[in-house]
Amino acid sequence: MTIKQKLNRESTAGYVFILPFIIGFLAFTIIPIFFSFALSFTSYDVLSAPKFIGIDNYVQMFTNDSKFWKSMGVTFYYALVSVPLRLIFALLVAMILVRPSKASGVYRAIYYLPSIMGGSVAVAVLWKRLFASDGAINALLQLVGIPCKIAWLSNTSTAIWTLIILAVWQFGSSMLIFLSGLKQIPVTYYEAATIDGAGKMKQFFSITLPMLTPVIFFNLVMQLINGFMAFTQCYIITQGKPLDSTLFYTVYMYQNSFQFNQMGYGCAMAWVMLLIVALLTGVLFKTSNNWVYYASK
Amino acid sequence: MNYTQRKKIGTVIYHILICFFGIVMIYPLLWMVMSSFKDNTEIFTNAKSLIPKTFELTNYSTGWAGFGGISFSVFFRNSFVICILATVGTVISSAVIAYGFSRCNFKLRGFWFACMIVSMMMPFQIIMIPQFIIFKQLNWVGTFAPLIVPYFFGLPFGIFLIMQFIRGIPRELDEAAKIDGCSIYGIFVRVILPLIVPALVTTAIFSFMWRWDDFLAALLYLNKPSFYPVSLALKMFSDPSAQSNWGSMFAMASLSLIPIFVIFITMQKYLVEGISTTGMKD
Amino acid sequence: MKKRILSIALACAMIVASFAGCGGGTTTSTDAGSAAGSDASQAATETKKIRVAWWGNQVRNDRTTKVLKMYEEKNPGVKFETEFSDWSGYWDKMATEAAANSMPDIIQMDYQYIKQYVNKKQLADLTPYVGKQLKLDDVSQFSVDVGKFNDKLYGVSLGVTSPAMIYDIDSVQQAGVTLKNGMTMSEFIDAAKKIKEKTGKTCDFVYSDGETMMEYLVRGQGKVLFQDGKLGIDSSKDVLPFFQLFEDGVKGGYLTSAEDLDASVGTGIEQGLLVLGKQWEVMTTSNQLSAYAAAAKDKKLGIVTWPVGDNDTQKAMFLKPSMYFSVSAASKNVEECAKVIDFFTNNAEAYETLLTDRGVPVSNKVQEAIKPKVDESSKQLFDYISAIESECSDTNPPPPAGMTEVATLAHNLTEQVVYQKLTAQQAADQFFTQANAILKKAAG
Repeated sequence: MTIKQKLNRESTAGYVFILPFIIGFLAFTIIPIFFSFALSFTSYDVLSAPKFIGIDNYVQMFTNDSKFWKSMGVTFYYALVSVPLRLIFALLVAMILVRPSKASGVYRAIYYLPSIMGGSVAVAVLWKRLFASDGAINALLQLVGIPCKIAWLSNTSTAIWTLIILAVWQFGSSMLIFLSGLKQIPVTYYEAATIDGAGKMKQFFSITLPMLTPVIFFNLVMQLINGFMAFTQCYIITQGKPLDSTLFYTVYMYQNSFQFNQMGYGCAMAWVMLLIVALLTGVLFKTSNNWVYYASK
Repeated sequence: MNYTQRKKIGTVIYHILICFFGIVMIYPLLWMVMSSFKDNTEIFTNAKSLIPKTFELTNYSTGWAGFGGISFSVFFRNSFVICILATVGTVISSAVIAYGFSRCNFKLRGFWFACMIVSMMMPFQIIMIPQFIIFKQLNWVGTFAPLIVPYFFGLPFGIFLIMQFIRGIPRELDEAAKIDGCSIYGIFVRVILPLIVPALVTTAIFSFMWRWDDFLAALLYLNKPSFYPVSLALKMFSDPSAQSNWGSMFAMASLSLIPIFVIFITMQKYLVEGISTTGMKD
Repeated sequence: MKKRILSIALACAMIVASFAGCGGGTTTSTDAGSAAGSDASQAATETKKIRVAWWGNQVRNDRTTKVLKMYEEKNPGVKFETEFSDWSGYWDKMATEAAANSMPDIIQMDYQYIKQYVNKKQLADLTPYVGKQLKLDDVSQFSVDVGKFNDKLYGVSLGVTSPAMIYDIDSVQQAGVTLKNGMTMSEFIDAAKKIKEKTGKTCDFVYSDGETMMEYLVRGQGKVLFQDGKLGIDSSKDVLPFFQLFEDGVKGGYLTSAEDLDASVGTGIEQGLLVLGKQWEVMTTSNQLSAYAAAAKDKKLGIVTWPVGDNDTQKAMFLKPSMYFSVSAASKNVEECAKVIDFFTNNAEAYETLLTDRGVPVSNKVQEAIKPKVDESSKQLFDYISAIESECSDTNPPPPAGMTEVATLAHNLTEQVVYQKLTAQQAADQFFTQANAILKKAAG
């Protein structure tokens, strides 16, 4: 077999293609990940050498840290509520904006803008004002006849919702991916369906949705990971307030690592979260065989 | 009312609704841009009103002056260099890697794929110290290299996204090309690449935007202020324990949105047009 | 197509490589010796590259850069590399650089952090240079002492500050009350009630950083909140007055609402409750006066000390270094760094540029020299500091490791008192046990 033939074998070609990833992974990612794993068994204040303490960090976390459980609960709630809402909203808007119209480019840009602004200071400032007791949201509710004096951000049951709404409002990135997914569905499918007399609704459920499942799956996985690792929203807007009801897991982890000088504990927290997210993602991948449709299979 | 009239009314309602929600969507942006024309003390005391009492351009001039004699033209240039190079690297490498993962069968494919997904689950704050040490060993600290080079080895987000698109392309196309004498590499370039343009464009938009906004890596790896990108420079207008220049911050933040916006506008055309043979019709 | 992609990739790789190559040596401080040959200076045999890092805003970045340039002109052969960032980013970066053993030569330090860095042997001892490169003769004894740990000098204070209450003069006059330095807490609360009645404006006792007020009140009892790495108090009784301030404030209605207090945390002076007109006073440190003056142009601001406890046995007020310059233990140019710090301490010309950005200058001579040149609010600040000097007792030692976590605990408990989830007594009890546990863990 010549080299050329060898290179052409699928298994070799596969490695040729993913070689950049393997190099990058080994060079920049694997060492830090293992390092953090090792640190999770130490007491490490960053400024001096780490001290091995066995599984103390993990024991402390599960038995003697109420904030750990609190932030875990907040993060689960946030991720499990905001991710589906955001995806449904994104898909809905993508379906509307995929209509070719002269203005649609502008519309798409406008609906994408909130995501561009990301976690900027302006968003933080406005979000606080919007949900203040004398803010625009309450004024709006007043207009529709619901007298509302809630201080959204200082009420332990509503504060997390202001962050969820922010996540939904910034649906642009998911929308963009849905848009490009929608564009990939061959027109011929719809033409054939129209000839067969299938209505819009039927077309959506029998063509659009199944053909879109790879992209839906992608968005689901990415948003789930992002949802659990969310940091900025809490960090810039609520800082966990009030009474830790919006304290994200990652923010508490960051506080431990850098502000409380307990990098070892922070690493242990990161690994617990990694295991949880990996487990959830793994389940998603397992079930994907049942509902994700790939044209290439 | 006949059919065409009904359709016309429907279209009008469609546009009105979209515009209404559009205003809700861009209100914070409007607020920021308008605030950038307000006097620094007016921004928060007169926050409810969009219209400034007096239109001030000084925020732009003092903001543009930058810090320590380094103006925003330098910060913008740095941002462009970092973002463009990193994005080019991301798109090329991610496409190549994604093709390998989705079209080739090889040993340990599942393992490497899992590695890639898991690497997205480690918070940057946790790995930043060891990563800093690696880049220091490479003598890259203080240069753009740590902000650019890693992206030439693929971005998990981009890889996974492009994979999903490739897996949506029927295998028959590959087979047909193979019969025509195409190698695995030829299929990638001639068949697959043209079909995944929307995915590449999406990856490019995201990559550019994320690199543009990223300040933490820049904070760590760059030392000289003359190397700072816009995202990092913007942070320095505020100092919670002393005076902050919010007006200038909003002015420069408004300017810094323009490039992302332009990129989005120009790129999204390719999303819409895509390839003439594919694409959804109304 | 294939060719084109390849060529683009190649071009990119080359550009990247060229960037990577051009600045490779920034992590060491003395690798620029080769460039010195072209230097016109006769004294310098090699170029000393000195990295200087600080946090700050536009004003500080500009002024400090200018002063460093002045120093470069006067000392050919010295080349500065400045590194500045915002406050929170600064400490993340310092921690990372310390872990990688690549800290800058000159580091701006804060009272809250300096002891950790000293304890972990990250800072150089400047004692050998005192009196030679680094002259501290004109510097007040206080400012020298706060840089000393175990009798060694690890940092030179760049400015003096002190607890201060900044208030809106109009609101106070409207209510017909007067405020004065050293008034008691009950006098203050009576005034606060009247002002609330007349103007609707409320007050606060450092909600966002309650630990400072707690420490202040404990000082008045002749005790120190943190001593030898643990709590210097014997029971929750000593911190009860602090939480009581908030409990009573909520009940009496003169404390700012929980909603407004929470919204103001960490937002900066311009979005602060005093500037927005919701509060009539803010308890902070004196060096923030000019920032408040700039942010609240429509208000006339006065400055007095924080109120003192009713039964105080000791002067609670104290002076505090606003920030330090320290030198990294790994620096190869400690001597030159000491000279630079001297320049920032004693050079009146440098202070014509720096002004009071880092607080009132520590050198008496410099103070005299620049006093005529500063603006109105800075003058107010000078007067305040010289007026209260006699009201002050010794500054507490810098806080121990674990202090940030204790401060966060204090804040969380205050929050619960303000939301009426805890009584002051409960909060004080919880603080006493949990803070002790935190400090024990941090010391262990």
